[in-house]
Amino acid sequence: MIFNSIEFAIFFPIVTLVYFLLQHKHRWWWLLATSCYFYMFFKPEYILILGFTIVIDYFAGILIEQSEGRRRKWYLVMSLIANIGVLAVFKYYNFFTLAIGEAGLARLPMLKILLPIGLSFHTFQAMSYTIEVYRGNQKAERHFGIYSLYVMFYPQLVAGPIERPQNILHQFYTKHTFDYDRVTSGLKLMAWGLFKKVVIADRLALFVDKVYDHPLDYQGIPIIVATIFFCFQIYCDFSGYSDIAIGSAKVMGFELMKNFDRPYFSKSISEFWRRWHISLSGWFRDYLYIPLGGNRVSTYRRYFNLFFVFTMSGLWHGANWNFIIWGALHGFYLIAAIVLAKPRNFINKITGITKVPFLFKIIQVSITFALVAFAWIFFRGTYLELSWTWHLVTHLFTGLPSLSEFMHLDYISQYVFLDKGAKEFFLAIALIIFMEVIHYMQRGKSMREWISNKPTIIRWGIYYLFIMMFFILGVFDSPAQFIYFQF
Amino acid sequence: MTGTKKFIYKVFLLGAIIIGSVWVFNKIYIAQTYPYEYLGGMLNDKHALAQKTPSPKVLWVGGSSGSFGINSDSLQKNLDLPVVNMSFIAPLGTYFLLNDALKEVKKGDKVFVSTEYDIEKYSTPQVIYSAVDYYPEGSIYIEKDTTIVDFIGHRVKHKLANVSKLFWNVFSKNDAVNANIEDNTSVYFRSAFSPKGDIISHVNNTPKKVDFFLFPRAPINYSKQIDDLNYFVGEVRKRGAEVYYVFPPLAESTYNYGKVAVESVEKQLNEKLNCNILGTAKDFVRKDSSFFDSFYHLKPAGRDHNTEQILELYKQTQTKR
Repeated sequence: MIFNSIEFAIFFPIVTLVYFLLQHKHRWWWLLATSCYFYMFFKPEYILILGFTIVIDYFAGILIEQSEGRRRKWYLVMSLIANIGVLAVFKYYNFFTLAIGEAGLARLPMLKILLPIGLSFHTFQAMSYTIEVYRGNQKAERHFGIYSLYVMFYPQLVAGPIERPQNILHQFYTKHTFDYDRVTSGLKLMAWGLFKKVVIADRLALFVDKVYDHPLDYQGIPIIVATIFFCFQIYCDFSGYSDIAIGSAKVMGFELMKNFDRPYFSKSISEFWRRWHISLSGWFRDYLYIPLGGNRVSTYRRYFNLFFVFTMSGLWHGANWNFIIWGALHGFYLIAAIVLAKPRNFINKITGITKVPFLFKIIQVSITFALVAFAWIFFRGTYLELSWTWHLVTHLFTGLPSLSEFMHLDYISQYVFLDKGAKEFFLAIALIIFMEVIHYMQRGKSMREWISNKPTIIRWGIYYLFIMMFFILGVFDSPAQFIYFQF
Repeated sequence: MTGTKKFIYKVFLLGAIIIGSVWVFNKIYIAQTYPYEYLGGMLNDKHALAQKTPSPKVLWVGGSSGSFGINSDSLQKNLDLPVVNMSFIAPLGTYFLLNDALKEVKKGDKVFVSTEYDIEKYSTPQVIYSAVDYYPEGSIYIEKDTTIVDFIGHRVKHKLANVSKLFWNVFSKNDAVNANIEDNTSVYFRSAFSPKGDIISHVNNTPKKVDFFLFPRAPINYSKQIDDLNYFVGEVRKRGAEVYYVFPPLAESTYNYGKVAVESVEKQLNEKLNCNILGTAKDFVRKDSSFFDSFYHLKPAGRDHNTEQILELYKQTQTKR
């Protein structure tokens, strides 16, 4: 079931209403049953895979807690192998089989299977549980139903945030009552998430798809326009999903972790990764980067750690060379940032740019955005042949028009507005600006709080305008899937 | 439960305001666009025309290939009967087009029915909901939704789309508002028709680029459409009228591209249709240059040639009698 569907509009109020009507002791099974239904709505049989990892990790957690020494480690390794094994079979087997075949090393049979929705998300969440039990940060969960719910809780089941057991497990034991402020705050967050998805992301997709569906037909300006739009499309798509997930959990009383924090205001790539997909970045930091030695190693080892972790992050997104290059590119950016720190400081000093903090910040944010945008070409190109993505990368600045050509209406209509018309183009730009202004205003205080403190007539006027804007500007032709579902 | 009553009260109040607004905006949109809207206007106007035309008359029934493909004046002159071209658009589907046309069939009428090869039985939701906004009688031809989700989804989507259109109309008027037959750009607007129902708005216009290959290539299962046709034929005869089936005009490139599809429909019609079929599908294949903006939509010259051929084939059936 996807959040921007009629089915979810029916599912959510029923689940929430019954949740509050039930006695606390019965709520876990209601949430578990409805989460199963939510997941099975996509492809019912894949719940068996989820069931497999749940059973393995449930017992692994208990055995890890009850054991000591090597045996304890052994149970953790077994659990990790089971989880990674599922990923390896369903997500990576065909990719590596193809790569091995193309390299002429061996001819292995391909599997005719579809990737279960959200596999990487719930597998990583499950792994985080056994690792935390192993580290002694989390007690093994004895209640099988509650543990299953930890993995399957429907708001974050298919696209995160990837929760830690310390944050969420105890919340299933807490009795949540109907709290007006919390419920309305959750609903407002859901509405904002839905707005970002249906109004902004799906509208921007009209432009992005035009170029990325026929990459060989374009060079220069249209690729730049589509790529910039894709930056905001993927942000609105994924952060929109996270907002709906966090909001729907909040309505029922659960606090999920923040997954995005205005990432395009980042002044460096490392800051970007502290603000983008926070739950995944944290996962890789805590369970891969730090165990590899993190920053407390030699310089070259640190470079390797960064490059390896980000390449793995790319691979996490999908079994595709484009994702791997995307991840590796971010690893490369971070290494370059360390290597070039001294020359950058020197340039800053001789230009005196740091004395104008606002301008300095704008330059930093712009450079970071440009680097991130460039890497997104590979990410969006995952639907394409690698050579086609390469065409986009190598033709980013070719075929640029002369000023007189650029001023020609036909050129603008075809290559800037991408045949969607001035109205659609400027609407897309206006929506991006609108969203970023909201983000900027939210630096100090949440917009939801700001609205809540206004007189009723203004508050209701804002709600009304927001809902009508959603209806008027939303793209409702067919409920588009969320991009991150494929992971 | 703290605040539960307050919450429920506010949800219902906000919901009522929103639903009320959407309902009002829909009414405004329909009233605003009714004077120039192509589909809704055509449905009302052609029914009105059929009702005021005395029987016996000639009634042309089918999709837009009939609006573009028939010269009703020529038909009237040769058959010596008043003609009403009640062709609408193929996306309405055979169930709508044929059952709706039955209302206008009277004793002694000659009914010609022509359905496009790729027509479906039922209309797509967005087309039929737009049609019934202006022509509420058509709501009985809406395909029954199989689930409550579809039922809500289709209706809500359509109502919201109207609100969106109303909003955008504030900034840029619909082209159809100022369209008239004399101009050389507009085609689809309410007054685009001759007094007999033929489309004439394109006479002065430059032809548009036609995608001749937007047509099925595989065999088409036409059984549901034939069921509708046979029901229509039976009902027409019960009313004491004659009925003939006519193949729609089709561009040569499209015919060659989708020959398998065309022949499959022709075969099924020949085997199962309970009325006279005028000629063969190939008889109605025309040169690509005869088409205006679709491989079914003839230019005025092509229309005259098409009408002559229909008359010729009709006369042959009369001679055989």
